Amino acid sequence: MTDKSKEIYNEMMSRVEPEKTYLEKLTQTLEKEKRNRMTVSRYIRVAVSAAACIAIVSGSVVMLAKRDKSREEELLKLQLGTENPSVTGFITETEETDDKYIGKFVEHLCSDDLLYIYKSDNGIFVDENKISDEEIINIKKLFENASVADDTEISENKVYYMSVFGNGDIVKFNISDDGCIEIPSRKIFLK
Amino acid sequence: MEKNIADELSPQELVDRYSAMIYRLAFSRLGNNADAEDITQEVLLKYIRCAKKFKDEEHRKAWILKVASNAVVSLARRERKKTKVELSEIENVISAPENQHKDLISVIEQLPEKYRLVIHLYYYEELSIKEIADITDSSEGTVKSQLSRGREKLKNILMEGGCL
Repeated sequence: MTDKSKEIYNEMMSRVEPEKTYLEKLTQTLEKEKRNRMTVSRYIRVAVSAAACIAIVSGSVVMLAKRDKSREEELLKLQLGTENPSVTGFITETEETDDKYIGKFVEHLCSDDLLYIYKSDNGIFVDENKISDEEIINIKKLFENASVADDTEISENKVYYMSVFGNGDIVKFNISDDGCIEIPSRKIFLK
Repeated sequence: MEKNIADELSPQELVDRYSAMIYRLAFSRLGNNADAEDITQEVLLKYIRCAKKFKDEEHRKAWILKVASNAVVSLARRERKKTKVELSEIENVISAPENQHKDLISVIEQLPEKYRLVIHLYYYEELSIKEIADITDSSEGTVKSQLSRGREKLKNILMEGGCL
């Protein structure tokens, strides 16, 4: 059965059309919008790429920092002891006299390569126990003014120190209450 | 996986393919060119801005009709809040293109608003009741009922107007 109403409605509606001039303007508007969208997308892509680069670089920095940190943590866990000296780097490898070794060590202490010196009452070093620059200067002076002695050990009343250098060297030493210094790894004693 | 076919159509193709469809849908509900033009632009701009992914052409057409339908209903609601002026009262000042569609405008005006969209989608776009229900966010039962009453009403209007 034919729906006459539908035929008439559709016939009337088919005559309804947007004007040509309107359609031209509409096309231009849409083209402009599309161009804007593409520009914005391009900016977003550039921003995303930049963000990705920053993220990669930051990631690398964080990884480096973590590596340094874990290394530091490892160092901090080291315990002092003459039987198991934890000394690394060129200083241990140097086959020199004690005087020359101490000379090099002091020189090393005075260089920018010194990162930290940790202080401890029991030989266990934790991050909070980094000593101040002022204390470092005093220790340097103490080393410069001391000379190698024959004694093999210092008194029980001593403070433990661990010096950490940027090149990876770690040198532990103890200072007794009477101002004597011991470098257990080398069995060096200074007064 | 849905294929993104949004970028396949240039603005010109979009206008060629969909502008008349949107325009007529808007006209069927609002009965004037200016609003129909606004709706057409609004919907096509939304299409470009959304850059939606469509499965196929049918999916795209359904989306456009739904957006257009929502825009039309929304505009009609806003217009209703303004001072209501009967279309017949402004007959003398309406523009030439609208004057060409006096008969249609008269029919639209007499047809209750709630039947206009379903009648248009069913008659002119030849959509199924389910498709109309999806587009108008109504149940199929509501669409069936509106369609039945709307068709009856339209028939009477056309008969009274001497078209039938």
